Amino acid sequence: MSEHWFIPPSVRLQLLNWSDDADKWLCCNQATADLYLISPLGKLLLEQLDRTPKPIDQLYEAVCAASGESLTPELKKAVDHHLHTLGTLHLVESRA
Amino acid sequence: MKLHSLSRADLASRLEKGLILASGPFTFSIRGRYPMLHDALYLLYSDHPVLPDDSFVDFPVALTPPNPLRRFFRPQVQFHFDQDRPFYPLPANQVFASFEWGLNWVISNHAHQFIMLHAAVVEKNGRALVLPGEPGAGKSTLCAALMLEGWRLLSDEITLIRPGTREAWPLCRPASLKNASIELIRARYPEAVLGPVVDATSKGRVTHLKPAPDSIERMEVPAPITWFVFPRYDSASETNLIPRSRADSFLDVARNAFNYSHHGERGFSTVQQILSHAACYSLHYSDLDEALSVLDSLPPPEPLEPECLNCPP
Repeated sequence: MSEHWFIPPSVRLQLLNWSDDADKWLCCNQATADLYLISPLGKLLLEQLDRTPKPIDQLYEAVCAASGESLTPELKKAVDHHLHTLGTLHLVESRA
Repeated sequence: MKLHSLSRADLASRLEKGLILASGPFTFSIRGRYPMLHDALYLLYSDHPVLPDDSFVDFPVALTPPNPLRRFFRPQVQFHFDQDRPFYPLPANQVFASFEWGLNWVISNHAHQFIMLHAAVVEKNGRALVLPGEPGAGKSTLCAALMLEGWRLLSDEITLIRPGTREAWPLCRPASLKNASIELIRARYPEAVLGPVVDATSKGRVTHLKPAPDSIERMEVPAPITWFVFPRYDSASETNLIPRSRADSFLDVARNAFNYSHHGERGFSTVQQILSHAACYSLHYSDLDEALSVLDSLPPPEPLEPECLNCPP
């Protein structure tokens, strides 16, 4: 069974970007006031996630559609890396 | 009534039962019998307002010997806040430093009606410049020099921000100077009023600089935060002002705050609003003249609202 990813109920996200620095999105978990800097891909990924666990394959496709890129092993690897990082920051969780 | 209008005997008498002094938005009741404390208050707080004995007090503090023996044998001083003794005793010749460090601790641990940044803040032409920085970054030296060049001192240590506003509120207490910066400031500004210099403290050689009269006169007037400059003194560095992204600066502002997380969502939206209307820079410097010149010619920023996902309307 593939991994399913979701934003835990305890996380309330806000994302900010000032146009003078398009490469950085400031991510704040309002529930804890913790701050993180994420890349545009990380932001796209968070936009595809919600409270309902979503299969990883569906997530790859959604990120591809949102970014306009094709589904390559490199893109999958980048998404996996971001999911791992966001998981470490407790912004997302996975469920088998 | 200003402190300088008290006679020495009157000051000593008030310090027995609690001298009530106003500084920025706070009132302090101060007790202590140390002549060095009396001298330093007379010198560095002479233009601060003294309030009537029945005034409301935010922070009651006292400086006493930790035990009767320590009045005579290797004299020491113990800082008290209300019923609390938050620090180990220090040698008695550090009484004024102990008082100032104690007030910093008291404010930064209790004044949560403000968002508090560990940063110096000065103002000119109605615009506030915030200088966050780790110890040794050179913010106190810059702050002292800026004040002596005509900027208004709001604080050399704690930037006070009311949540929901973009304004810094003055604290207006003496600015701390350490080690080499003491002689630097003394040589450049012979008119500067410096307190007693104390050697071998935990921070090295320290003294304090009296705020300029204008800073004290306007200590109830806030100023909108216009610039964040993160200084870095490096004796091998050319003067270099480097623009910083607001996102990076946000992280550093939060990291330099005493109580950012305490304010939660309101703290986030307040800092967001401030940064959207401010410009952020790193300043590397070794030459004080050049650094002052750069800071004196900072351009007013263009406000830039961020794109915001999931932000409340």
